[in-house]
Amino acid sequence: MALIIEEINRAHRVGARYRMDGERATIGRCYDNAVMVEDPHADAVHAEVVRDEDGCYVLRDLDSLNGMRLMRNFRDKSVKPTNIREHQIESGDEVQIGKSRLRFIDTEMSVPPAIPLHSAETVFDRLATPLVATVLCALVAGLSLWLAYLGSTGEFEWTGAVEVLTDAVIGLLIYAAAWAFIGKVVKHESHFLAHLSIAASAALIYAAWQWFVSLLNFNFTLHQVLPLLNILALAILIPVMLWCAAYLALNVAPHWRLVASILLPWSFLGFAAAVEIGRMGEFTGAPEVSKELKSKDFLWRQPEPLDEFLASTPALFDIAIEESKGKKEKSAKRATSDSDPDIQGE
Amino acid sequence: MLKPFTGLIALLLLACASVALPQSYEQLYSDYRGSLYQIRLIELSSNSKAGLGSGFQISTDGLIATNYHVVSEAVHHPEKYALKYLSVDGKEGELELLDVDVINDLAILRQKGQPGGDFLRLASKSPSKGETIVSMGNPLDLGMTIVPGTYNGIASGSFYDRIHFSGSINPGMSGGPVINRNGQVVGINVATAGNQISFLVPVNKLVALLLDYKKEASAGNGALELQPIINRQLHQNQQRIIDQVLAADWQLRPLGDALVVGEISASIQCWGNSTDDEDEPITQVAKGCTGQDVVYLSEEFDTGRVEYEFFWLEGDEELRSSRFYAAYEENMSGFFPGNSAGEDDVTNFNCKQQFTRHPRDGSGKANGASDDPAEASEAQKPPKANGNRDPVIARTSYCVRRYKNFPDLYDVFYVSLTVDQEKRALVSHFTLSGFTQESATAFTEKFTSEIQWH
Repeated sequence: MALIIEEINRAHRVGARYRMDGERATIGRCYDNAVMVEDPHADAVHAEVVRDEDGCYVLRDLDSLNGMRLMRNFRDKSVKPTNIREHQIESGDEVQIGKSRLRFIDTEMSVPPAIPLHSAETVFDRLATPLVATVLCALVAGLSLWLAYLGSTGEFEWTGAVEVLTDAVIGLLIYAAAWAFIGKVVKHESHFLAHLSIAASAALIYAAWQWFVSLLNFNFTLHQVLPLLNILALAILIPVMLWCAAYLALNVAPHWRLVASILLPWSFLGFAAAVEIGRMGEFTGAPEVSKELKSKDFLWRQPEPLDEFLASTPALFDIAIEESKGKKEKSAKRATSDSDPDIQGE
Repeated sequence: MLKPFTGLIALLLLACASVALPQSYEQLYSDYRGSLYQIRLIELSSNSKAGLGSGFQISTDGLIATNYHVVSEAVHHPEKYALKYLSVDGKEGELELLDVDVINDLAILRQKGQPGGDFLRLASKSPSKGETIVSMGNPLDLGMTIVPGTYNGIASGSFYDRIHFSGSINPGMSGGPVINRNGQVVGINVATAGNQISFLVPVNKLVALLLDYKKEASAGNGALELQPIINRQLHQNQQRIIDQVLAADWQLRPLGDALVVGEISASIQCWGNSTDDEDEPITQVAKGCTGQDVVYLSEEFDTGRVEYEFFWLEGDEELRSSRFYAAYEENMSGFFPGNSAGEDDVTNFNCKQQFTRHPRDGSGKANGASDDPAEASEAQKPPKANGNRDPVIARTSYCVRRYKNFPDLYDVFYVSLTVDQEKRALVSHFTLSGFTQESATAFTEKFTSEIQWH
């Protein structure tokens, strides 16, 4: 049995690891110590670990300037931060010396089984090559350029093209850079290319979806549910993006990652959907018809003869008028207006 | 006692031409000021003025005429508003609403309590064109004013008779009388188009309303229920308009590759414009026709309008079809009905949208869909007839909304946008406001059968 002393950084990553086999080991800044800490706030010989006769390890302060503080035990949540001078070490204790943090682990402690590599890992590896990222970004740029060209009829100016290109590509770059930065801070891994490829794929998928929905709207008059369909698409796309980003950039347990990446976007989108649904019954002065127009090459439906269409219109005139409050009010009004002059006369 | 004397002076002064005319206006003012009133719409909860108009006494028993639009709030919300009058001498009193004519924007009220002493007589024959007539009223609450102008006959381009008066009518003068030199009322101030172009309701409409009211009142039901009266007036009005429209000879006019409906009757005016910019690869020709006036029901609700428009769009040779359709969609996304109405007045539109087809050259009616295009197109051939024989395919929408307070009346909205050509399209649209189902159906049938494609 031996004791492992780990120096861990603020991201809880192990910086250095020492194995203590003997009866005594000292901890401090000077090179004579068994455990050397690179910390100006630690004494030359700050503390010692001694194995007592029962085989327990005891950590003892050697009259240091800044003392020691037990921060936590990652296996035992009941341990609260306290200053210590002498402390019987439990496996899992984390102790602050100066500004450095040491973790003590018994070699007999078992480790959790290996986590299998996520299948997404291979996808990320494939996406994260410069070639794939460049091609995807070029596709997004080309597509936005093509849509901008189709959406206008005038001469297509190069300045306009540059604007469209920068808008599309800069958006992707900002997204990827932001997550890469977070990843760098949290996990020391940026995965910039992977984030970029994911954002570009999502943009392409959403554009394809919108084109498909506009075709549906043209053929089947979906204008009323169109906003909801778009929200639905986003409700799938955004959680997937967020999950990938969290996987690459954050240290979050898998189940929390899943829950957060679904619930966060859904709560916003749910709100948007509720507003959209609430708006459906509202009064509008304009007729609600689908305004999508495409050439008949995109028409999947058989047009019906105009006179048959017109013959079916009389059914439209059958509109129920809810027994209006207005009428009841009006009869009530009449009564009051009759009595009004009397009151005023007095 | 004084009147004959002053009248004599006026006559004497009239003889001295230029100086005399303004003098005679003074005379008119002092002679008839007693029968003029300011009509005030009082909001009861704040007990303050919510609207102002003018009015004039037309009988010894205190009947006062004004515009319907001056008093409409009190018609719809009698619990919120009351009507009061203020004479030129500052005498105030309450008014009782008796009868209205929404089509001609007239209302008859009665002074409660002691009626005023003076009243104006209604002219029995209309003035001659060019005759000077004098409008009276209380513009912008500045006090009684008289405005001389000329009578120019009945204005054209509308389903509603209005005198075209060259003179300035301003807000607040609505409902005031316009009198001829004999002091008889020939019209009632109603609207202005700015720059001395104003409109008056001919006095014969007031005479008719007065007769109608007297008949109803003598039938002895006490106070008239106004809602059924308005309902009846709207019905008769839409029938009159639809009869006039259907009986007319519809002139077809070429528009691009199509023949479309032009001016149907003198009551409908058409305009047109086209964008033919060298830089724009799409040429758009528009033609729109509408009756000029509407029937005012309340501030946010008007009706009685017939409106139709057509657009012809054509793209350049080298323009891609998808670019043409993107621009087509953008240009045609803003269709609205021609009248305004609020949630309390109408239901939501109930729409049906479908792809429709009809033969290229002639009527949309199946039975009349003659396979013999020769006779149909002999008379008027559009300039770009191209011998295409495929049917026209269009995205057609038909929408209906019902009037909540007049359940037999509807607004009908129709728009048909062709989608069968690569770079050419015809859009036909009409809105009818305040028509019955029968009238709308008859109009629709006629309208769709008239448009021709070549």
